[in-house]
Amino acid sequence: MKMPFKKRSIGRRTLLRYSVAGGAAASFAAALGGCGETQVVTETKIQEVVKEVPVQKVVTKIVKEEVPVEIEKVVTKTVKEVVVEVQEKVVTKVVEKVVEVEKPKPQALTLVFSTWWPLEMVGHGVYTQKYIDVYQAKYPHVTIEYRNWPFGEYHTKLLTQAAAGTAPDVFAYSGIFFPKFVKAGGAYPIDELVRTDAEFEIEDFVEQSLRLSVVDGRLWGIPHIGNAWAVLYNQQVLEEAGVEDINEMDAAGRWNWETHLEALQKITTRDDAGKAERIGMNDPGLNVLGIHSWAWQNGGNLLNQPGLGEFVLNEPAGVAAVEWAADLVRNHQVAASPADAFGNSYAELNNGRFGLIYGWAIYSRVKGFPVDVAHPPSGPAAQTTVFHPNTLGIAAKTKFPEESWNLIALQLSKQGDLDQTKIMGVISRRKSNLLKMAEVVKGQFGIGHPEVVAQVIENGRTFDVTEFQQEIGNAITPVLQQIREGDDAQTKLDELKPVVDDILAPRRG
Amino acid sequence: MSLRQREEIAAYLLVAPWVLGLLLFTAFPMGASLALSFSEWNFLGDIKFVGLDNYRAMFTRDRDFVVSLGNTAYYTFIGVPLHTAFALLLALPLSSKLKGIRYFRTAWYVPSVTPAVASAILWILIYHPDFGLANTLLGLVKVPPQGWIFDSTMAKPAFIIMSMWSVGGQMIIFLAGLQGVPQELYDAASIDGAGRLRQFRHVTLPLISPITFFNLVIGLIGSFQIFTAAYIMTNGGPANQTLFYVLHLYRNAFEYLKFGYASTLAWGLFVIILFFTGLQFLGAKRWVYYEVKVD
Repeated sequence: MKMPFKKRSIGRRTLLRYSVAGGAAASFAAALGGCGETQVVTETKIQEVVKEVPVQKVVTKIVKEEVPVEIEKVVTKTVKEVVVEVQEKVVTKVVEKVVEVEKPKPQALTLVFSTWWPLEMVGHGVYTQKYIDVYQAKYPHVTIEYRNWPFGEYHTKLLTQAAAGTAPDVFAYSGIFFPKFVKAGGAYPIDELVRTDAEFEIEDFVEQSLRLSVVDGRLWGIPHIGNAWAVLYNQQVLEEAGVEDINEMDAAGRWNWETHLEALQKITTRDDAGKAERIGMNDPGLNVLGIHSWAWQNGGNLLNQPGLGEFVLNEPAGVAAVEWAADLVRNHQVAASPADAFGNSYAELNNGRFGLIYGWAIYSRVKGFPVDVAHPPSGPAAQTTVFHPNTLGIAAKTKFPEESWNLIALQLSKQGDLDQTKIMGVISRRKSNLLKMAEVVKGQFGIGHPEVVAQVIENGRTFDVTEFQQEIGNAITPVLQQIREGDDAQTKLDELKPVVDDILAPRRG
Repeated sequence: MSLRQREEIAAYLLVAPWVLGLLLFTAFPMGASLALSFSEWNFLGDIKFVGLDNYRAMFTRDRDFVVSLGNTAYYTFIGVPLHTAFALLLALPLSSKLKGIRYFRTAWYVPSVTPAVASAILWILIYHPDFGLANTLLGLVKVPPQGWIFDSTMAKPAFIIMSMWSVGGQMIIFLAGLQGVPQELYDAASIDGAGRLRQFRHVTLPLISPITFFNLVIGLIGSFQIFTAAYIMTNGGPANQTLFYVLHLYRNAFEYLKFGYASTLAWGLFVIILFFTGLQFLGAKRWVYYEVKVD
């Protein structure tokens, strides 16, 4: 309560007397403060304040405050404020003591971390082992138990473990399947963990890379080992076939669907029996993922709103794009059929059987070969590209969300993000790393135009997937295969529309 | 306690593990899946009762139900008779008493105990369009190379051909049956002037008809449940030509997280298999002969 007061002057002697009295009171307060659980006194501050107040009574006020400090210690701060009221003046002395108490050692715990690659795997395994080691050195009380299963069974395994409550605390998840896992309740929301981690800087991530990790307005994962959809071409094969360098064509604005077809025709050679000896390109991506890029280039789309909407691939631009891609196989015969594309596309590119491949720019798979990377050809409407990140997430039922987050944050820190390019040969997703990534790619993998991938990441789009990705994929892909084998595109895509719209109906509510 | 009572208790104790196993691992899951077939469940969330919606959806909205059932029927009704006939044809020479015949029997039987995943990977290589064994053999007789599992017209026949590889199980059963045919019947037929073919037609086939029937029933049940090879080799492709029923069921359960609907499909398969097995039993009255009359 605020009291009225009267201003008076005081002498030096009086002031000294009151100071002595106040000091004694302060010492008493300090003694009281020392009765707590404090062990080591590190700092003492004495502040003297002289105030003029009405002279009525003596009030003693003790304030005790405990401030937990997260990492190293607990600081206990004890403040005793003594207000002595005398006839004319009050001298207030504040004694502040900072006392350090050693925090008990954190309890040892085991964190389970899973991906679909073994630690022995060149690139991915080396990277993962490195960051497990770094994490354990930084948090010695945590032991990382690493588990891995082959990709084909990985997501099923994780699902059953999540149902049993034994899912790994931290897990890698395919980006296109992640929304369904989140919707089912398998993941832990990480918005708050990200918000309170000042060092992480989520805004440094390319916005599109986060799209698949955001479900129902919340963040559930951080983009991890993704890649950019680009054209990788064997320079030697192109030179032998008399095809101009693709990046030079692109720079001159001549890399489009027509020149693309011409290049493929020049590259493709067949023996007398008609069997392909050298094929222009790999399977042109007549599946639910590969068709995105062709459709976008022609001004079409799969769905009329990313991740929502209705099926629109049956509209003219979409149909023409599908026909274009299918014709590369069925009519022009310059792209590999599924039988031709049986082998690993990267191996076929490296050994010169394919002139170019249209797929993920995974440099570690073409290291040491005369391979360069280029943008996909410009379609009638645009030159669009796709990139796709996977995700690192936390299990919904984890007992250690903070420790789990620390493992993610470390792997996807700025250094961790860049190390993914250095060690794994995959892309970075942090804006601040894009230039550095290009330098690494050029120096380490001998790629002539690494800036292409940085541009894909900055300007590319992710797939239009939803939590119904697998249902839609299993509906669309067989139809695209039928079209490749000669069925009429318009008819088949029209038949497909109600099927896909029916799958998406719950999404639209 | 009397001896009889002690024996009864001992008997119950001896069968208890089996009964418990049946209840826990067969009866309870079956009951649970039946209940789930009337529900909607994503495996991690709450179970919601939906009545007959799943059954209605199976017949009215699920196009892949029809496709997968058609593919499975093709595989079963063409594959099982061929498989059974091949097993019998193989068993005939292997039932002879030639020197070293045991090694041949073992060689034919081994593939049937090879893990399905390993077999599937091996057959991917056999069907490789460029350097696979299948096209190499065709090349020897001047037949152009085929696309096999990569060709939508050849994919299902390729799976049927592949199923012949695991003929060993049926072959062993036929072998046992053939060795149980009394020699005196062949001798009597021979005295009556029957050649080898007539002996086979009128002695062997009737006497092994229970074995043939058994192989057909087991073959049909197994064939309707084909999964591993399709999952690994083609994942239903090309163009859904190898989307078999159980693969469709698996997708609904573990990819679409529709465990309720997948249970409905499972019960649908149960009814289908029950129906065709029942038909086989009905037909068996016309052509299966037992040495003793079975009522």
